Amino acid sequence: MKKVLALILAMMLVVGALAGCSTDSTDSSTTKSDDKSEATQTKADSKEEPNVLTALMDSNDGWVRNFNPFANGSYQFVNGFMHEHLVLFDTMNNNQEHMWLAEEIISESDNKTLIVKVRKGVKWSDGEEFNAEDVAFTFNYSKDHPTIDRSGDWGEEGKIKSVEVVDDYTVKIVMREANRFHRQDIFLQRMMVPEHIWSKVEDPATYVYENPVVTGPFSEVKSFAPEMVVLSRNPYYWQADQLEVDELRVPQFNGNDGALALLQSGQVDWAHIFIPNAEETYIQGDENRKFWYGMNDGVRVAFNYMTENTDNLKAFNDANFKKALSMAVDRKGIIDSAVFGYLDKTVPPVTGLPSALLGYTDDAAQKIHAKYTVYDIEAAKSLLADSGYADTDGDGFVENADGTPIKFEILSPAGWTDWNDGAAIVAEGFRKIGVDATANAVDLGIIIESWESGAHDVLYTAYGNSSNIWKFYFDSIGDASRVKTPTWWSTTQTNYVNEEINALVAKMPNATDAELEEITREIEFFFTDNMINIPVLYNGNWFVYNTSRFDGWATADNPYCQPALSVHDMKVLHLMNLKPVK
Amino acid sequence: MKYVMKRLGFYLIAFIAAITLNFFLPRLMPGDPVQMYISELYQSGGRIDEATIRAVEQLFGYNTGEPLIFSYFKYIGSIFTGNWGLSFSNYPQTVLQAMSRGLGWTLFLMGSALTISFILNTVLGILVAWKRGSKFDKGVTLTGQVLANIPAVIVALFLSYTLASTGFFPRGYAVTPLMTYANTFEYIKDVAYHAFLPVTSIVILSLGGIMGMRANMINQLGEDYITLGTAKGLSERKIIFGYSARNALLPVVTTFAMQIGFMLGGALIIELIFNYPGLGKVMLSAINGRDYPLMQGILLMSTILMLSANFIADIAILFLDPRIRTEGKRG
Repeated sequence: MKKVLALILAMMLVVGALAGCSTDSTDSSTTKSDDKSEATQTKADSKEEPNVLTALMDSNDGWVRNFNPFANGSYQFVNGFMHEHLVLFDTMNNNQEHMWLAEEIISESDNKTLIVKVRKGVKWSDGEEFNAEDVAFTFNYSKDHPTIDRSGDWGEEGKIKSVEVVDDYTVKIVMREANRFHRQDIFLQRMMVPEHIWSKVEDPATYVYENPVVTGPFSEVKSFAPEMVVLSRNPYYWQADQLEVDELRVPQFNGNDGALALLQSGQVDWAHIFIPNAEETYIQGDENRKFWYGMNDGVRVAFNYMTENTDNLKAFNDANFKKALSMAVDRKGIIDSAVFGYLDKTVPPVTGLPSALLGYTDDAAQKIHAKYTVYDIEAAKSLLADSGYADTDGDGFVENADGTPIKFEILSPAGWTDWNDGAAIVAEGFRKIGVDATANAVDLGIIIESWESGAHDVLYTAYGNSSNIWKFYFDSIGDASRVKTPTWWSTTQTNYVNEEINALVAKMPNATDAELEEITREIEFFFTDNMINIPVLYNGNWFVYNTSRFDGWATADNPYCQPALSVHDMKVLHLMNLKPVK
Repeated sequence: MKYVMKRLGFYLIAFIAAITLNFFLPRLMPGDPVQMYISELYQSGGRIDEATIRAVEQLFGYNTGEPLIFSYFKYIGSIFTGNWGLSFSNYPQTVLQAMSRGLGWTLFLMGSALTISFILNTVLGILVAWKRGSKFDKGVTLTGQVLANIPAVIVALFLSYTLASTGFFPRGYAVTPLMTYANTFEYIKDVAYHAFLPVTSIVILSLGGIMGMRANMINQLGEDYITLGTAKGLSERKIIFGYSARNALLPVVTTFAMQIGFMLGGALIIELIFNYPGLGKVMLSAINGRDYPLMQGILLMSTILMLSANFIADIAILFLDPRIRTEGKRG
């Protein structure tokens, strides 16, 4: 008896001890390797204290040592801070281009050929030279490996016809179809990889890449633990003079609370996170702690024009009904309550263009549209009444002119709290003018399934970001083939089909500048007249920073680049502008 | 022997039922891993192309056309070969790798909490039984009962708001994230500091064990052999710890083993509240990412842990309770 008891107790102790020991031993091994790399580092860093930048990026449960840029869900610091791009597109300032690993990219007049002039003097972090071979390899690599062809270069509907090396520093890319916007499609978020490493890899999507060879600012893995990744300078970095950050530390966090705890410690310099009630929870009187939530993509109320509810559909197809609804949306209320008033007060233009494409708005159309974005319950009510909507059955809500009822739910993905609150406020406004709408936060999976079935009526959703104006319109409204498919951020969200619009969008790829201006103007006016969606507000570009250790941040007053620390290309340019505070 | 076989048969059926549920439940949830991956990509500002979806589907070997029953048998086969597959959301880690990250911390939490609570419950149970009816007895049993019946969420949230939010204890993590340790001792100290609140929560939840121990002790104290011992002039200490406590402990062992399963569930909630990087956190992210293989892996692991704990308890009863042993022999 005693033995069994002792045995059980001993087993429990062992289990506990094992758990303790196992974590213990991994830790001591990492600290050991830490010491080692520090010893080798001392030669390079013999000057003084390194300038350390601590950044919060990528919410996860623990880092896994894999720097593979082709891996599913590859880490955000791999994009830009390690593997660099040929050209950077500023997704906040009209997609302005900043040449990076390319000296120049020439679009030939046939709208099919792109000539890339590769920058000279760039080296990979193992000392090998970066040249046209690597660029061509990067593009051709996904031809043989469809699992990494994430932007659809090859295959049956592929964008690219061929990629060839012209000379050591020139690459010629020929597209399958003429399209003046190909350069954004092809180069946005395209990380360059070294041929001499990856040509030997059999399956790039699953390859575990532990010791990265990159052109970017950080190439050396100083230490790697599930709790924190520490990277240090690339010894061969081509802009070494510009770069004043010697070490990048990326602590693990897996949610807002964890991130906030780290931010409160004051040790974090740069973060991509939304902080509720930031003045009290984060800034706490410290003038070095700052945040700026600039514009991201537009958020809209999207109607499903193929809903199974034909009574609702009658109303959805009436522009006046939607104009009245738009006037019942308390946009300021949404910004103030759902996101504490931190977001830009700008209402997205008629077609909901994201900040990178704001250059394509039309002032006249904007002016007409603006009238319907002013929160005015009385005006909305009278517009509804004038358009034949009345409460004929006395239930307090209006019916169609033919007496059929209107009643719908506004869906948003559960857990996306700012959207859930926004949808609730929208529904409240609709009810105020007598439209029977309710907000419902449901599992994201249900929303995606409803895209396919067409079972939903109204979504509270975003427009999404696109690489260029043609793609934005093609994806959101110009592609009838995607109606009722479970495709993200596309025509699926409205299932709206209009031949006139489709024809206009189809003309864009080969339009001249003047024609393009005319086309985008026509589309804007079409949207103004028909109020296809109700634009509500801009999503935020969560940007939190601390000026106590580094200066030179992009700010609301000096928005020289897209400041958010997420999956986009500009963050490396931002990094180059950071200077240690003396 | 017959008893053991009977129990084994029961556990086999329970196991099959559990793994079947494990397989079908996640698949009844709306949404699929590819779409969830895309949604994460959207939220972090990545570009979404049709091609992205196609490529990711290909990568996962995700084939919606495969008959469910086919996948089911593949899954059953893989359980026994130890190949639990690749995790979707932690690609290219395997399910076992992704799980082991959290499992270590969960076992550490559970191990320490169970050890502390076992000792605490036993000692307190013995003491209150000895002083039964006293103010001490009433105070301890009442407090224990009340605390043990508060739901895990509330206990954890209360501790989090009173002790973590005020800065006495950390609000998350198993270790300080930006820390570099001078030596192992410092590391252990840091781990203990971070584990304090979650462990305390689990211990509080298990305080009901005092009542079990108390009742058993009281029964034992009424037995004739105690009276005999007292009459023979044995010391109080000898009677409590040498005689009655030893016998009173036996039934507690079995309830204790059964409690492990219950506490495993409670520990998951506690991990979520204290942002502790255990299996509960891994599970949550697996659910959010529709990471079927990882969800199945974790559920399977919990099933195995719970069934084993109960089986060990059964075996313990066999050794501890002569009635079952003789029944077995007779049959």
